[in-house]
Amino acid sequence: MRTKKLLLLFLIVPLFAFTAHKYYLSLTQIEYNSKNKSVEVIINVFIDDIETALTKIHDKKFELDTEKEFADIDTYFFDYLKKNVKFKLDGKAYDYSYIGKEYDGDVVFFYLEIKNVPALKEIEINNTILLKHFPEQQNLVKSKVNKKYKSLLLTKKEQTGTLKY
Amino acid sequence: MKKIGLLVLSLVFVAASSFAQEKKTQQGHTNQNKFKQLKDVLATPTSQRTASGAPGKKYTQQKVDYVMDIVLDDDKETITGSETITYHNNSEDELAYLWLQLDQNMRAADSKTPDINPNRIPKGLSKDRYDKTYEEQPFDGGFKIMSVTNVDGSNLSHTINQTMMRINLAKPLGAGESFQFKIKWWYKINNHRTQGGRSGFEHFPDGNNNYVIAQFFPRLCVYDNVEGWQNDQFWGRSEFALEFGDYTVNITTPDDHMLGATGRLMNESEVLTKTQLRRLAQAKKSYKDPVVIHTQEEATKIEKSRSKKTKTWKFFAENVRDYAFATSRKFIWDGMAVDINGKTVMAYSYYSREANSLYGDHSTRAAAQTLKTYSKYTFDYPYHKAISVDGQMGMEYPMIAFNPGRPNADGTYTDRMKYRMLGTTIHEVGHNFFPMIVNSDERQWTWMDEGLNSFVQMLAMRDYEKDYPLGRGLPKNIVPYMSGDQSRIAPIMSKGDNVYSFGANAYAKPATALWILRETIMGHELFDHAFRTYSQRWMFKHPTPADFFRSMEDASAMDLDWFWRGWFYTTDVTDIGIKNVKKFYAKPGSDRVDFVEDTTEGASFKKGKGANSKYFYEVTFDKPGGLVMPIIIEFTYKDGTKGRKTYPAQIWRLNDKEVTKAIHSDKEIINITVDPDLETADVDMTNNSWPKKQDNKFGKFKNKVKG
Repeated sequence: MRTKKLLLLFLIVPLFAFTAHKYYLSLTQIEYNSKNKSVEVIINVFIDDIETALTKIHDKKFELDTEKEFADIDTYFFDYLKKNVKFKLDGKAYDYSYIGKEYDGDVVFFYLEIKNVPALKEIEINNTILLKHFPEQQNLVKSKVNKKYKSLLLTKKEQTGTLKY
Repeated sequence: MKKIGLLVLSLVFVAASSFAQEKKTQQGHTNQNKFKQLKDVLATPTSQRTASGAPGKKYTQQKVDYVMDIVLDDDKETITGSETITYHNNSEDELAYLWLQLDQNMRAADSKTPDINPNRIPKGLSKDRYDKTYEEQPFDGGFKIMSVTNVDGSNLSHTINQTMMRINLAKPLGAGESFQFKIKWWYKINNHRTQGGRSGFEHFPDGNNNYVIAQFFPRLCVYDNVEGWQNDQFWGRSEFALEFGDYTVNITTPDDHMLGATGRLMNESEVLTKTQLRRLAQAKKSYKDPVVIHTQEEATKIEKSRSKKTKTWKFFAENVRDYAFATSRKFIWDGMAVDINGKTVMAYSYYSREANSLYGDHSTRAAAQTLKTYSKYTFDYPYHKAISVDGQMGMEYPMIAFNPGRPNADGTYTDRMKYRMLGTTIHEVGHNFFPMIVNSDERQWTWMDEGLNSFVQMLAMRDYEKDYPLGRGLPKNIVPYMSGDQSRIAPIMSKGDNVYSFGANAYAKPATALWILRETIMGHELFDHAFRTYSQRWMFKHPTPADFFRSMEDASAMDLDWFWRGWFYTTDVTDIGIKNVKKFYAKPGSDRVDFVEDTTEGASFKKGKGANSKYFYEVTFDKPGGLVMPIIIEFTYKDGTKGRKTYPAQIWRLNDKEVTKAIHSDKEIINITVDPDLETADVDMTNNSWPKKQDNKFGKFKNKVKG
């Protein structure tokens, strides 16, 4: 009973933020480029949320998309992504390279590329973006591989999912 | 002769085909057309709520007047009140009982709110949080009702059901009659920064508390002809509606507090210093910049000591639906005059030094702009003031709103900090219009005030700064939500307590829907007139969704039932694409013109001999999305110029999946794009162009990075 009450309060506090975007969502778009034999990944997250996460993790103030943004911010982003987004393609773990980021309004887009993928039938994705800092976070994954569209939704409960083509 | 032959032939075919199907009995279906009228969904019009969406001749509304003495005890962090309530039964019904809302009981020790929320054992907790969760007694912030009495002091029978209290009347209250009774109560104030809530105090390391007090007294529920008593329990999320009435309120605080509240301050000379009164008079003439009435230096000096004396602030508020106040010895106070169509209204802010310079720079100005913009799109703001308080949340009450946002310790702030604070301030002050005046039932229909308000908020933000970076409400920004997992999406026409992604459901999506109506479907002139009509019809009244839907159509001559049905009653998405394009050229002969298809690959054109100068295209649009929307297309001609064409949503009325249009052009078309400006919240842009776009977002970005 007591437990419930206090935990509830954690849950309620974010609901009371009345004008912030109020839904916690990231979108990962995956596309297999059969010509280049590469997997192209675009991830977008709310700037506010990733800023909060980085500030808590590194215990220093991140001011993204401002003049005060750290010059080596891309290192922090790539490091965060490497820890929170992992791919297995046809059962084998792959690393990706960080092409860059792009701010658009209250959202930041990350561009990632996995090279040397001769064919692709199955993607396993482990996505824990912002789950630690926002219990309501939902990470949506959409993909287009071999002209097939597949999507899945990852949450705190289900952090890994598989897409088959 | 030829024609008759054809007719006979087609009759033969019809007969043959019906003969062939005779063995298979076809099943019928109900009307599933997306343009079907909402008549059987909306409530039947009455003489209280008319078919035009306006209140009818027999529309009635209850009135409730309050006289309250409130005492805030800063040492004990408690609030005590005694209220005399006069309930006017203006309805034609006899009432056997009255219902009051006891919102604070949501934080009572025996509240059922925690019980309806599933939870798990966490992986770990901070020591502090662990102690609070597992070791300490739960906080009891519920109402302690000391007495409920008749005016003669005799006990009045009452029953409490969680957050609702029923007054059991000795004899029914007849139509047109009034009933007066008294309630005495107190409760322990919650720390809203650590315990959450829309009311409470914020504790500072210097020992001071900023109090933002609301939903703090037993308040009458709305009684109307739609729901009877609006006595749905308060679970903590979905807000409320209240009756209008007059409030006479005396608030006793420590002598050194600065206080802002709903209503007119009746004893200015008793509670304000001569200097403050002089500066207040200046502020009332200052239309350009805020005037600081109680300065940071003065507040900083006061907050270092604690007066043992008290003072009483006396207010009178006419025709308001609620009451709230904010008080602290830390508060700085500024204000400026706002010209609303020749009438002067005051915009004020109360904030602690921790909120400066952000609040000093923007709070009062944002409140002033909100009053101006909202008055332009609805009605002239009828109250004499609007306050923005550094309350570090986002919550609204009549004439007063509690807002978030603080600068860095050195007073500097980033653009994002500024816009976050501005966005909420405009939103909460904007709530003075919806629902403080256009008084819809938020517990049942959150979107009616949150959605409408989030929409007008966008217009006010653009008026505050021409290039204000809009986020929520723009069609492209609702796409991630609308294209998400359908099992976690509910229609807008859902009760706020019962939906996932509350913010997207009740704020963002309806705001986007209205934005699209104004920008894409109706146009500014028709929309603005209809929206103003709705607002003015229902100011100081209780509208329902049907009143809004009907007013918007009635005042604009636009049948929007398809739009309400799709956007408000379903979770369908917009997805319109170009399925294929056929190219033709025309060959004029002596008495007729023949069209010849050009099968050249892609957009390039190869006309045959004898073709005239025109270009013809047969474009087939498909609609994988369930929503019906206009088809907005942009043509790019070979010479680099562009053209536009919009087909109204009604193009889908006979075929909801696919339509074909013939297009003729004097110039060769090299590209056709659907929804080029992202104004319809199309969830999949990959099927929106012809020829299909080769380079994707990823490729484009990669090329850009490479330089």
